[in-house]
Amino acid sequence: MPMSLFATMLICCLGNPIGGDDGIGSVVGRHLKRVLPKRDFEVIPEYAGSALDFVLDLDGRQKVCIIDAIITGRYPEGAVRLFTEKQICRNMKSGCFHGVNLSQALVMGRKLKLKLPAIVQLIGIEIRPVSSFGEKLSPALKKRLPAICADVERKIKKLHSG
Amino acid sequence: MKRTIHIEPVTRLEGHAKIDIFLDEQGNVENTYFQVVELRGFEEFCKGRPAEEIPRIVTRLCGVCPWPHHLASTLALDKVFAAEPPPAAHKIRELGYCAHMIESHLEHFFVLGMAPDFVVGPKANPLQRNILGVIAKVGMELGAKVIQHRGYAVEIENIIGGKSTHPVFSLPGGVSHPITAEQRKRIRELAEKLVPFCELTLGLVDKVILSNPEYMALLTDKNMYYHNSYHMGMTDDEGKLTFYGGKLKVMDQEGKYIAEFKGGEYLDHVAEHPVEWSYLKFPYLKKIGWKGLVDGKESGLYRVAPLSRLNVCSGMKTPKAQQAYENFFNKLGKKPVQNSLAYHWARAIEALYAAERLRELAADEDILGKKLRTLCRKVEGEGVGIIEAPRGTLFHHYKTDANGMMTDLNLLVATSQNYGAMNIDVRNVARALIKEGNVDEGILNMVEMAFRAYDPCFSCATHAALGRMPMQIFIRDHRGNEVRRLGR
Repeated sequence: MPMSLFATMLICCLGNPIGGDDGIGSVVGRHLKRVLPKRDFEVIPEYAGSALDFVLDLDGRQKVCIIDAIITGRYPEGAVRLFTEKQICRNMKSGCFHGVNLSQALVMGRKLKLKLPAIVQLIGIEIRPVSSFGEKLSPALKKRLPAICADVERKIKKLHSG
Repeated sequence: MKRTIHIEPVTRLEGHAKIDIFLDEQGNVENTYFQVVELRGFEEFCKGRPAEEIPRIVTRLCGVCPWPHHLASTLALDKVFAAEPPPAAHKIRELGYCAHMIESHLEHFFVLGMAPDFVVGPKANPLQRNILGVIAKVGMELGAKVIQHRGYAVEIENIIGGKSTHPVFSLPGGVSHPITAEQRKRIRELAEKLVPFCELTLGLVDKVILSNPEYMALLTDKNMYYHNSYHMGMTDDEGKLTFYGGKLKVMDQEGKYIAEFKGGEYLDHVAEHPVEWSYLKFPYLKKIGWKGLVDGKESGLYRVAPLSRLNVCSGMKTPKAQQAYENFFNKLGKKPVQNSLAYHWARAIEALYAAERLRELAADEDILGKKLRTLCRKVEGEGVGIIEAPRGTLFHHYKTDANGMMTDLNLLVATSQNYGAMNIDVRNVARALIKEGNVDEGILNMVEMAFRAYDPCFSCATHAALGRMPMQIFIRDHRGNEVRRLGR
């Protein structure tokens, strides 16, 4: 295992490029890839893999953060929320349309004694439900993009140094 | 008092759907509707775009069916652009696709369908009817093997496709890159591991279902999880099962072939019937006609996917899968097998076939060929691409203008072709199990098992919200008042 895998924080950004606001995770990911130092952060702006693939990709990592759109209806559009693994697992109790959700994959990975990182966190960006295809962010989310990027960047740096 | 039971959202399938069960005055099932409640409009989104972009765009339809869409799309464009791929390109496409079939079938078998419903149990606590419950039952060692071997298939998808979930390698007229000798060596190593694992998976059907009289009774029941339909599937020139590059055959209820056609002729054989209560249309056999959600020879409804493919083909091209195929029909009787739960068994046989075929293709010297593309000779035209997706036959039908821009696009997906069958099965199971208003979690799961056997994929455009995704059943009287609510 290269030493860099232990030193760097893996940031997996999720987003459908033709899903309108659902692509916000990847939009923010491209910003992070530009601004974060490579020696400390490995950013994948368009992570492509299921939850089962994800736990295998965590092998040997120490710190991992996922960035994705969320729809809770509890926060304003564009709000950036940080969820710990405990919160992810507590909030994702039932089935996922994709079979195994992130929570189940993490619990399963730990049960099977895979070498998972001690810290897995999720940064969620609140969006409104997406009902049609599109390659652009909605005007409302686009307007908030600089603030969202700055907020995510701040949270990531704090996680890395913490 | 009349009442209605809603199951929404239904679980362990791809996409958004719900089931409404209408009870009569005595509490018995009057009717059921398995509805698709999302509208996607993907076809409209693609119109006016350069045709060569479509294979990359369609992989975003959902995270579960990207490979079939990617390849059906390029197969359609091979025809639009009059660019028949060289043999090595076809073989590379098929090799990558076999890896995808293994990955998809293993995931459904262990995570979505067979294992949660039969290993954990159809009436088990719903919180345990998932992969974690399966691991608790089968043990850590097998659980780890499932993850590891599924991972091997994903590694091959990555080698061939560039990305496992959203492949980018297939192009009109061929593929984008060759396989190196080193990559081929690795694929062969992985294939050697996948074949015995798929045998082990198939062995679980024997161990869990065939050896259990209660489950065998369910599997062979003729009142539920059963109906008399036509079947459609792809075969090669010798009539053997293939997922890629073959023609389609349709078998009737007596085992006779009633149609054989190439992708480009599908509109002569298949039509779609819209209904007011669902966004999904019901495909049916044109020559038989639409008779509603009923089975039998007079009804044009047909089925696709693993069970249909085994019914329609004359055998398997690989030895272990052929043996499993013979065993399947020896145990379940003459063709066509109409028991819907047999889809799980057929799926395991197909996974073994895909592993053996993968091993065969990886050993083929042609796979290292360097001539991988044919130049496109025109940009205006029409083409149909067909492929056997894990969930059944998939059609992509494209038309382009003189500038190579998409003017028309029609996708006929596997799940829609099984939509009529799923509705009939849901209704049959609900009628058989819900009596005098007695309904519980176990029964509702057994209703869901009726469609889950088909491995449906209604595909999600958005991620589920972070938070508890409710599985709620509303029971209402005939005025629509809620009289009871069940939640998961």
